[in-house]
Amino acid sequence: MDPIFFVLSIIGTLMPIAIIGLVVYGIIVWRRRASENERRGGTDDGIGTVRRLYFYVVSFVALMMTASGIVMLIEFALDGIAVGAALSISTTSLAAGVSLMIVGAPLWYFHWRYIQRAVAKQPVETQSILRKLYMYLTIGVASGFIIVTAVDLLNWIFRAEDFSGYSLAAIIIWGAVRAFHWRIEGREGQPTQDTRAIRRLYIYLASLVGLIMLSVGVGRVFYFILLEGYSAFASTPLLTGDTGLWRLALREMISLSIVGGAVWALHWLYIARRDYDSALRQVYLYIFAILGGVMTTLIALSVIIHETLAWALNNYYANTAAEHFEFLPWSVAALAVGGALWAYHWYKAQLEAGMSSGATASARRAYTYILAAIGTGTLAVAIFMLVSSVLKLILASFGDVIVGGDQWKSPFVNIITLAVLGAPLWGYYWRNIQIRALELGVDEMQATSRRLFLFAALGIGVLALLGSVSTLIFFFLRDLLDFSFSLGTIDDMVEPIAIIAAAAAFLPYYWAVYRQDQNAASEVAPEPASPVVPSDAEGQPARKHVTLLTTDGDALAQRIRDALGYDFEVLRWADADAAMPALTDEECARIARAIVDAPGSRALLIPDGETVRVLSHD
Amino acid sequence: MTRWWLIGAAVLFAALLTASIVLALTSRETEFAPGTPERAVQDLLHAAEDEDIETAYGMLSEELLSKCQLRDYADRMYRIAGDDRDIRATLRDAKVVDGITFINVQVTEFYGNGPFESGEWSHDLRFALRQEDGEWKFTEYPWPFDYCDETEEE
Repeated sequence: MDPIFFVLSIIGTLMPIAIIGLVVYGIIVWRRRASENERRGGTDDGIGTVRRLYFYVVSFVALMMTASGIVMLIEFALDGIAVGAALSISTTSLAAGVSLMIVGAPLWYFHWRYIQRAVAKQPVETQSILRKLYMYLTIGVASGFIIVTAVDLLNWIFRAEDFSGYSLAAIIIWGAVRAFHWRIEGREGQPTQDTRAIRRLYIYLASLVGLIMLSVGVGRVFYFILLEGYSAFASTPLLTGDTGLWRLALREMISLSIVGGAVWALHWLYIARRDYDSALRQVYLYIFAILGGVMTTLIALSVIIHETLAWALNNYYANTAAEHFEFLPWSVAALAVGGALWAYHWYKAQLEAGMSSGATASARRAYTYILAAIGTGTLAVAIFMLVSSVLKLILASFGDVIVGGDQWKSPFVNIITLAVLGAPLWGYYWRNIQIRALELGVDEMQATSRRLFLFAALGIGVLALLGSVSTLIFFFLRDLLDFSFSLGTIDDMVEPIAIIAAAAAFLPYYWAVYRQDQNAASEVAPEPASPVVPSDAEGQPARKHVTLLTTDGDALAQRIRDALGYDFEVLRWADADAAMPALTDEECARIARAIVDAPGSRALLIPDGETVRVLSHD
Repeated sequence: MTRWWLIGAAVLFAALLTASIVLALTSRETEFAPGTPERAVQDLLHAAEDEDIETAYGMLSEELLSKCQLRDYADRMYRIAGDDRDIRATLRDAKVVDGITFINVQVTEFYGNGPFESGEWSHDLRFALRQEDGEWKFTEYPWPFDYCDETEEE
């Protein structure tokens, strides 16, 4: 297997693991918050979990039946108008539509009416996770139908597809379903952290879907344009398709770009425009958008470098250079889209860095360690290939080459490509990581991302080393005991030796880093967290008059007191939509620091979303 | 500094796109001279694009015509009809071996159905032709009509 594709396949394997990890992390966070809520004394049960589950599940199923039934009815009518005579169309969809509507509509109406009455009587119902799941699942399903049918509709407008009554019917009905639920949801808001988390999950998933559609669509539009240009310039076209540049595939991709762009703009640019303090936003920004852009750029660059080197060394199989460089249209298009994704989202991340809390630091840290890991893997493969190629060349020099004397070219091209990409990637991100570790000390050295990275590097390195050493000893002993030790024995040993060399390049270094981190952690005395409040010239703490607005008794106030080092006033927040954030010790310390740094002599602490805002006055 | 790099890259890419559009709009399919094997392949691909099975059938060699009836050959067309494919074909090279001219062509098919399903498939094809009575005829069933349920000998 080509090493570049080997590296890409490893990345491809890691992506599903990362997604599963994110889901598990989300469940853990959700359960932790739930138990924290229980610890605070629980909440009003509303209509009860089992009854709520029944009503929302039945409402959801009935709504899906009703909407599908109406879509079928309108589709039947529209297809009838488009075809010219309704009699020529099968009446099966009419029968199915009517039956679904007759059963679904009353069922949904009575269940939904009960739910809305319960919400009006017991406002605590708006805090129900099940209700928000129902709302956003319905909005999500409706959005999915709207996206698919909007693409079909645009394809019809661009004459890439025949008219389908279904697309027009579905976009009207699912649009109405989405608007109805979005309006209700917007009016009642998201009073708790959990309900806000569900909304954010929908918003950032929809943003991601829109971004992927936009990137794929625009990327392929660029590709088709560049392909047409390249073909006109460098090849002999026998058949250029039905309409040249304005080909069917181009029109389909324009439809995809328009719909994707609209979905992304609505969710990311409009709905999520001020949602800075969200962990999910940071995951979207760093792990999907920026990392996605970086990976696309790196893959495109690797192909361009690899194939250009292959051409320079005359190591390609195409009949002509023009045929060899046919990769250029797609790789340049991918480079442009990847670069644009990277640049835009990095710019956004820099803008927002000062507005959000700990979530940014965690996501940014994870991002840098993922890129450092990719850099390490790329360089390790380059070292493996370098050592094995050199050893094979040395072994080949002992024999007479009959054919294929330039076999070194192919690995050489791969090694240079991997080194040119891997070295700056690892060098840049690892340098940043180490500078940050030096600046922030033990907290950074003990961060989960860093520990995961180091343990993964050490674990993979040790396993590779052990496997290779045992294989090496096996080959040596096998031929020694058979008295058949020859050049063939050394030839067998080439790959284990190359793996040992690649492991040896990184293993001692990462082990030294790990030991350094351990030593730094052990040097810090395990004392309780000291307050961050500074002392004045006389050694007395510079106290301020602080007031916290709170709903959760004294728990949060005590943690901020511990971080601040002195007592302060607490006011009970009595509003129905009052909600407190779940803060980590780091966030409490950050709030204490903000109180100290605030210009006013008095500070007002107001819960705001997932954090607490610090306002100061005199 | 970074900003200027980005602006420079964007300008360069925009120039590349503009040049590609101009080239694409001003270029046409290569017109091969009538009576050449390349022209025969081009004519066959046009016939395939128009689903003109009779023209394609008329381009088969005598040997293939004797083995395959038009109605059997047309069956292939019905099997591929409805594939809403967008096709581009470029000439790779031509080689002559033992009186047979082999024309190598790269065909790229663009297909897509739905927001997340769009792609392409490139494959190299070889067309084998021989001159019969001054015309170039296919000695192997040519793509995409590359199969005939050959008539059994009585």
